[in-house]
Amino acid sequence: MQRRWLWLLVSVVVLGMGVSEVRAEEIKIGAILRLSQGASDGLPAKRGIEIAVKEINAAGGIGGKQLKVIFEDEKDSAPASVSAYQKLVSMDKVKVIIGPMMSGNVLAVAPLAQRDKIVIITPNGTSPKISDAGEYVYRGCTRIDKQAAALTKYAKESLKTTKPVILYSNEPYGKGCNDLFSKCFAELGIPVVSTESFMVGDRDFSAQLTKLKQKPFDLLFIPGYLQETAPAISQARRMGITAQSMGVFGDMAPKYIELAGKASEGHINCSEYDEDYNTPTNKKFKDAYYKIVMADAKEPNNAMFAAITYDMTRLAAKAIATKGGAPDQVRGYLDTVKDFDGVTGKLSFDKNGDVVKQGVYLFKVVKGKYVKVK
Amino acid sequence: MSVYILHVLIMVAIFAVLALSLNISVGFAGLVSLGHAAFFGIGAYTSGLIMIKGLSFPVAFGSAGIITALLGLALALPALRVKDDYLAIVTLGFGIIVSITFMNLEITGGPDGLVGIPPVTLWGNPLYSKPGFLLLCGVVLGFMIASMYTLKNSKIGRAWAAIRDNDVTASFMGINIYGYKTLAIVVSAFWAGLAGSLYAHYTAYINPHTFGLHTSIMILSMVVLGGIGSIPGALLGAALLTVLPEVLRPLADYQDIIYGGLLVAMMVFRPQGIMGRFKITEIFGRAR
Amino acid sequence: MLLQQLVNGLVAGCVYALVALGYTMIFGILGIVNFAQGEIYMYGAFGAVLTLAATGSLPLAIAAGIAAACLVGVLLERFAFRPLRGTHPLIPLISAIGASIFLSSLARLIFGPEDRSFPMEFHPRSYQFFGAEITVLQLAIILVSLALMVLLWLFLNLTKHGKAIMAVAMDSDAARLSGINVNAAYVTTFLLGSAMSGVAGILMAMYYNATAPNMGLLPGLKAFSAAILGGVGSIPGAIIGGLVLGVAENLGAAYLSSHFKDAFAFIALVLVLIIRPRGILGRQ
Repeated sequence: MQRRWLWLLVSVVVLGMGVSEVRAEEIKIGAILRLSQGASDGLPAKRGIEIAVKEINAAGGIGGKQLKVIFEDEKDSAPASVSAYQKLVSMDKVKVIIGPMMSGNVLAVAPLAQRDKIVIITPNGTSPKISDAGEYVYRGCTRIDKQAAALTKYAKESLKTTKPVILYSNEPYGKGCNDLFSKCFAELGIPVVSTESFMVGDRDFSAQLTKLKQKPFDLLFIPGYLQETAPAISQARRMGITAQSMGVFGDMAPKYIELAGKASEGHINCSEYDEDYNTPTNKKFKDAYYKIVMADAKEPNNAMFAAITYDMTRLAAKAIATKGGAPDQVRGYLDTVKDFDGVTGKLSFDKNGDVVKQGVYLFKVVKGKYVKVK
Repeated sequence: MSVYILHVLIMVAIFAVLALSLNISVGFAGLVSLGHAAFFGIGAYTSGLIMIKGLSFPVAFGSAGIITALLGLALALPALRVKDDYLAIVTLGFGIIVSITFMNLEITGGPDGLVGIPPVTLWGNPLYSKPGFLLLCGVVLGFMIASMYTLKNSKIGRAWAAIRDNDVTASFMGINIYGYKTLAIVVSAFWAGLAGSLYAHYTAYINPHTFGLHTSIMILSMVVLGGIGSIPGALLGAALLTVLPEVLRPLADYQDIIYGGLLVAMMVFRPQGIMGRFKITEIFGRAR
Repeated sequence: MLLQQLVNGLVAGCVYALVALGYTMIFGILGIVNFAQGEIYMYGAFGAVLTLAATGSLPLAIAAGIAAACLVGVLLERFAFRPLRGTHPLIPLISAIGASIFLSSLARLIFGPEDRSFPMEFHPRSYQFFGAEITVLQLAIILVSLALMVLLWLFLNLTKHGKAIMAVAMDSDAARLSGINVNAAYVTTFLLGSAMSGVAGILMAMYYNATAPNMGLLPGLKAFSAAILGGVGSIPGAIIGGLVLGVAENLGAAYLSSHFKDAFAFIALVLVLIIRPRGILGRQ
């Protein structure tokens, strides 16, 4: 009985590890996205890639070959991201990977990518440590300190903030924001009055908010993922906190407004993407993305993540098309590209591999909709 | 393809050590632990930090085992005082407290984790090659399997079996239940710490997420699916649960459903696990 | 601030108590740790949210939520626990863990990964007293929870079915010999426990305005700790355990460190068990 189980296991393993087909008429790149946990961010990211691939292939592909993307799930876990990376590089033989999405997972994969000389482009990993992760690591979103500089400056000058407080999500994204924003506020002469934190998965912030209420403040900054930041601001308002609220780009999604309800009114946050950016490329992208969202009620709606991966895919494809598919050739393109026609702006990369756009977009929620502010 | 397979094999080896270590407390001594990943993490962070500070791998590796064992002792002292049925929840609580601590200490890098952990260095040479690392894991695993069989057939192992069967009877026979149970937890923690050290230096990056409840459940599942108390069973369980997610990649959306369903089905149809030869009641005595 | 934090803790504690009651009844009668109790809570929330979105009727939504929770509970009992009766407790524990994973990933597949708001506005009104504030919703949660706890206590101690359950909890063989339908008692226990968790889920769907497939995991674990802290198998114990946990969490976050808020529940558990290994009101 046991021997049969063993044979079954062995055959499953052998079959499963089968060599993936290498079709000569295809160019493959890999993607490691949040497809199970965090699918509300990962699925839009996937759609962005799919839209780009469809466009590129419809226009004849890359040098006549069809572009194919192999998706793997980062499972919000560093070991799973590493396994996904190994599988993509070793079995699918990709040379370019879009992802992972979470900073921790990027940091796990980065040393491997450096050693193996594989280009990885994280669409939205925000940790500053990613800039130093190596020359094969690129980042598709603005580095968090540029976001911090823009938002804190806006807070001081336009919102006339004098006493900010921070309620942050205790993981790399939120904590990174807390550290950077505290520094920026201090440099602007308006040091943070108090800080509290919460964990991903928490929904009850009454303890932290009650504690913050003990000292007067005029700005409540809540960096984190919207599943937590939305209930947080909602509870804050219910508790009678009237201070101006502020968030980072995690709050840039219609779902945030839906979950926070009226509490989202007046909220200031930054975004990597401006839907009203008036270029033909953006219009085409928007139409394609919203067509997908409208078609299925269960589809998460987050144009920002889709926009970032859409741009990154097109950059990678353009790199392969103009310079070649080897990692150093792709790097050669990415390091020197100027004013790439992206939907997130005119793009280039700085010497650390971080994307450069014309600036950070700031938005305010007015009557249940995002309105751009300057 | 071979690099990928080597990677998977290395993960299997590391988790095999981990599963075997849990098998000591659950399988040999009958103590349920839902917080075993905490020991894995303590070993990983200890070893990583020691090598980051510049000390050698043997020091880091050994310290990982010893420090984790000491923390196992610290857990055992209060935990074993509670009613047996509560041990599961206390170990679960311990696991959660430890992972939240990892998340909040400066020294462990907080939520960002430890970046840039140095690789294993043997006689001055860093071990980057995968086959080499697999060999190292194989050697550790080999030692472990040998010591497992020795333990199982020793006086200690027999005392554990008696306690597992029925601890009231065992105490009447003059066995120091408390002492032997503590020993089981300490030894189990020691080996888990060693597994953690291997893991830290292989992946060069660790963060608190990896050492949480989800991983503890996975390790317990490996032991249970393979067969509680069975040494080849723990190996098989580790192999199965490490390889299956890789093999099931095309079914990525359904992986968790399959995992959950598999656990339920196994318990209903074959609770003694794949390699378990006895009915579970024979291993654990009559139900309380 | 202390009074306000106590109010916060009370609200959270009431919800933990409701779920803890489910755990304690199931453990008390069947000796099983129902790791999937949090998922029953989650399905209750989804049942209500989806029904409310579809029909706009709150009473119907609440009924649907409770029904959904009970359905999940009954299916769990039938397929994941009944075949394992009489086995060593580790077996149904693993089965429950598997069921928990299965149920939450199933929910993710059926309902999608996104959080859902509760399709109804609530009165922003709140009452002030001695410097603390309590909103209408918070008050409602506390009152509903207390009412349910009282109803449960009355049912178990004053009705024939309830007393049958208590008898089975004390000694199932003796109960069977005295003619009590033990199977019916088991199913009723699961129904009651699931209903309480279902209501807890619905209350939380309203309170946090965020219903998601993974919402049951953390509250489930904490409620489980609450049941043990209070003394598993004891109804008043579960209630006290839940309230103690809720308050400990909030006071810990307020006066010690919010970083460790989620850990306080488990720290409290370990501390209580060290002092009283059977839990506060734990019996033989």
